[in-house]
Amino acid sequence: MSADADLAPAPATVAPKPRRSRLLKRFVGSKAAVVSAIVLAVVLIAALGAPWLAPNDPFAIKLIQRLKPPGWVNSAGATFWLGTDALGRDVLSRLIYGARVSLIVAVSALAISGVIGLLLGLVSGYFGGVVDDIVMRIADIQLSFPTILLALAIMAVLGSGLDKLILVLGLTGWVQYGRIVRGQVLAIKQEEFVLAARATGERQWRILFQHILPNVWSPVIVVASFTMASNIVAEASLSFLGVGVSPSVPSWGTMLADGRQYIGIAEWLTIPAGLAISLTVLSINLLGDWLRDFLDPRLKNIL
Amino acid sequence: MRYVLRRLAQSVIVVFGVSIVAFGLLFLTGDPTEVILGDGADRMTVDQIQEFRAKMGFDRPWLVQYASFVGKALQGDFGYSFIRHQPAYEVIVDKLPATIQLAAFAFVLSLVISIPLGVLSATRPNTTVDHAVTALTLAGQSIPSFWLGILLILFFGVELKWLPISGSGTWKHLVMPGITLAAFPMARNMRLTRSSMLDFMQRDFVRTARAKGISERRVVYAHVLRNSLLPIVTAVGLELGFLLGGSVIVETIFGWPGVGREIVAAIGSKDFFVVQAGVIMLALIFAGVNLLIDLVYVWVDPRIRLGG
Repeated sequence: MSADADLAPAPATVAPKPRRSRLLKRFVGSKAAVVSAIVLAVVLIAALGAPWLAPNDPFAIKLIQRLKPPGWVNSAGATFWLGTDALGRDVLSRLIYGARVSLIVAVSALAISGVIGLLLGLVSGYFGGVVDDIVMRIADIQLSFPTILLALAIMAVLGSGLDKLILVLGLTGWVQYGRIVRGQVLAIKQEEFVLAARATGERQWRILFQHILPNVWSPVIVVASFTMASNIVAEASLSFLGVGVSPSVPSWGTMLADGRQYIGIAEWLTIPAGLAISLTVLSINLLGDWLRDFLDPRLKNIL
Repeated sequence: MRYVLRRLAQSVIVVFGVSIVAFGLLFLTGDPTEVILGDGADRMTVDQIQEFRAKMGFDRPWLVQYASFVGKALQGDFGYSFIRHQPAYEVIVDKLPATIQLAAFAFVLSLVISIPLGVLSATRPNTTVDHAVTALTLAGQSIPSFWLGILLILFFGVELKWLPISGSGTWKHLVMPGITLAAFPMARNMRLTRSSMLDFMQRDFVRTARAKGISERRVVYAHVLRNSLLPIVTAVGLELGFLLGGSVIVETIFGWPGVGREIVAAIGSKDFFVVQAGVIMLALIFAGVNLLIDLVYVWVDPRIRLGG
């Protein structure tokens, strides 16, 4: 924390110093959280460093070396540690680039839905009335569609593509944030510090963003961690069905879709990609659980 | 009664919303003619396309089009599938029983397995059994259904050759798709049962029951479990949404002849009306069952009735 921040009149919400060391201590104390963080770090490094880490070109099609088993070495001396797919592309390189697609989609979509959900939740919880009614009805309508089905239908019309996928997942994912933030705001706005701010005649927007917003971060972060996991699964599911990213893009979902046709012939096409998705999602879930228990154990009842 | 009326009004709004979204799908790209004709438009002259547009009524104002869409839908007319040469409504309705069969099986499976296991782990916290159930819960929530399906096919279909890997007909065909679809809700119910039971075990009325000297069995089943089931009933509605949405993936993997696979096939062949009809149908079933669950809830839990 900088000296300036220390001198500034501390709002009730600034995390006091001991909390940070507590965070570190409790983090190291949880084996599951540490292991999960390591797994996620590996995925992140793979995603960021894909061009340098991938041993071969993930797009290079060479039919002459199709469906080679893991560990195969071609005549030029290049090793294919996880074998090649039906078009002769390197599975390991595609797996590494797949991490990139997964994270780009999951994080971008999460940011879009987070911002929309946070704003709508704040406004509808604080102002109530007609705005609240409208927002909650829209949420009801959206919840009446199984999310994957809604995304599937929209992607079917729009056609596959990374940008469209991000937009669709981002726009359909706000409800969870919206509902939880609204619930928190409803409770917080009755608290004395808000009533006091109101009594001093502060403007509504200022109360909302300066006094209430800092108090809803915990649930938002927890929801974000779970959305991250569900976004990764959604991207893979939609890509698996052929309406996510375009089929030539190396994504864990498209890899599974390709590999499905060779079940019993080439397991190396489906096992690594499936394992990558499952481990990543498991790690995010574990870390999310830990984060929830650390930030606010009361959230356990609603999340 | 007021609650029931309000809940009914809410359903009407939801159905209205479903109709708007389903109708809106056509206009996502800006030109519905393009969506319906797909690649076929390349082989047509500009005049032919114009004629088709006029015939489908896409040149009329939106409101008129929407009214006619709803009017037709109410009579079961969801457009015509030029690929199946059959009304889209029929294409979907024919596949509905298979989807309901699969979803119902997965639903029962998830409850039959998750609740006993949840009880087992809640009554023995921090034992090996509890840890095993927790591990199962984590795995079930993290392994995506399409990979689980592929793993099951690899193991039970290809290696052991115990179960058929695709199609429908016998009970054997139902096993793998059923497990695959049930895995996620099963994991969630287990977790829910466990945490809800642990929560109720701390309550005063349970302590009172124990103090009265009734058997531990009766305390667990008659007092704790009965109360713990309420949050599970609430989750059941959401679960159904998952089952219907998840059926799209599971049906595709296992070649199960249901609505989900039909929708995916229709997307592949750009058969828009079938996609639309399928989505509407699943959303309406979902909304209907949720309404039913909420009404049953009123009857089960008098607090809602009184609270209005």
